[in-house]
Amino acid sequence: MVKMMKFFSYSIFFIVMLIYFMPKVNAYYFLENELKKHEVIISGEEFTDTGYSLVINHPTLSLKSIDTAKAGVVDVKIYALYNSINISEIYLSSMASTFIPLKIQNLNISYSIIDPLNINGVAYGEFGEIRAKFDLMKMAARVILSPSKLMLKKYTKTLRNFKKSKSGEYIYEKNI
Amino acid sequence: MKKISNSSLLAIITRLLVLLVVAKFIMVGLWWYLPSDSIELKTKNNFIQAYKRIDFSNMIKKDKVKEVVKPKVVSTDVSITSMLLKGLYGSKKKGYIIVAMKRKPKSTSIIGIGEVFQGYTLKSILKQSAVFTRGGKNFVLEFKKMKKGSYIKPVRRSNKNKMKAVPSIPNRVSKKDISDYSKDPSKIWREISISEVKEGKKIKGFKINRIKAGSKFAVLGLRQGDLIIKANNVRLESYRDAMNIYKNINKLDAIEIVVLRNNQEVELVYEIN
Repeated sequence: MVKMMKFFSYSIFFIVMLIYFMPKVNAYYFLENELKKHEVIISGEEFTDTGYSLVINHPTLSLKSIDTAKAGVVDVKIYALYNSINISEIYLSSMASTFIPLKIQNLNISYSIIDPLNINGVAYGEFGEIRAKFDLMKMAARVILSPSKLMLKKYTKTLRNFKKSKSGEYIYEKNI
Repeated sequence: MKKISNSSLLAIITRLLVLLVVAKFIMVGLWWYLPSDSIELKTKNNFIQAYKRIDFSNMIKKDKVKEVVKPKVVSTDVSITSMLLKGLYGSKKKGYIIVAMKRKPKSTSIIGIGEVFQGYTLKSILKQSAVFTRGGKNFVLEFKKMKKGSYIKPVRRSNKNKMKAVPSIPNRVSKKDISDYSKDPSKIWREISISEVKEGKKIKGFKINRIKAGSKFAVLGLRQGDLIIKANNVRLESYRDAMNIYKNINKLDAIEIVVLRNNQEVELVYEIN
């Protein structure tokens, strides 16, 4: 038992050290290179490596060279057993103003060993609140929107893409 | 000394240090493998002068060129007086003019310096006239006074292709239509389908794959198969270029589109009002 405890403790220490010494900024550059293949570019950002997370300030997301969104702070945490990306103060490009309110207060995407088959996302902003789940086995996304009054009033065309549930929530499902 | 080296605390510290060093080595190896440079969005600044409409009739009223030679009429097969100067672009030694015969004023020709039209060689271009030579003599062709409000647009030629059409009177697009389309962009895609065309990795233009017959886009003279390569003198080499035009369309009072149709450049001019 003591041996098991020792092994477990050393393993934890080793993982913590791996996380601490991980070249997070370079890993982020690798991610940028991968996104570039899909014509997604993140630019204008400033980095802070806090040791256990990577904080990215003021990134601008461009899709096919078009500025699509700007964010305030992106906090990336990679702990192997629990990983999350938290993005706050997202402003979408004015081009999207006909589809959705432009300000997203917060977006959180997480992957945890407790729920290994799904990636979960939660976002809230002027549009209301969204809870999303991506099933890694079925490669299927399910988005549940609780729309705000503004969304219900001005963005009815966007809501037509969702199915309305009995509880008043709007559901969007797609297989990839 | 023996006691310290045998103590369990030292053993633990040693193991932890070893694990720390191993973790560091692994991550240095990973760091070696990962890229060290960020990717930034590269935007190419456009140094080409933006498209502008020029009212030549105003220029004629303001400027009177004193040194121009009076037109001399000589007995030739085609007299210089039977020609109409409809537009000009360029300087004394470089540029083009738009010229037509009086009997067919709508059938225009674009003549560059040194080129021959109806037996007359274009020698130079002045502010309000063009000088031709024939048989060692100079002939000056001046603008005919135009009606107020009409204008002729400056015309540029591509090195590769000739402009097929040069509309002197533009089509009109209402700001209300633009506003309607911007409120509901799905309307646009119901009427027209556009996709990028690449030459290697570079975008060559945006091709019209489908256009609904009788739609506003069809009325404007766009056709299926047209490749839109320029808008307001800006080469459309990225989605960003196209979206910049789209975003600022409400501020424009005219838009010029150059499309590649049957391998020829066709210029379409629209007045936004």
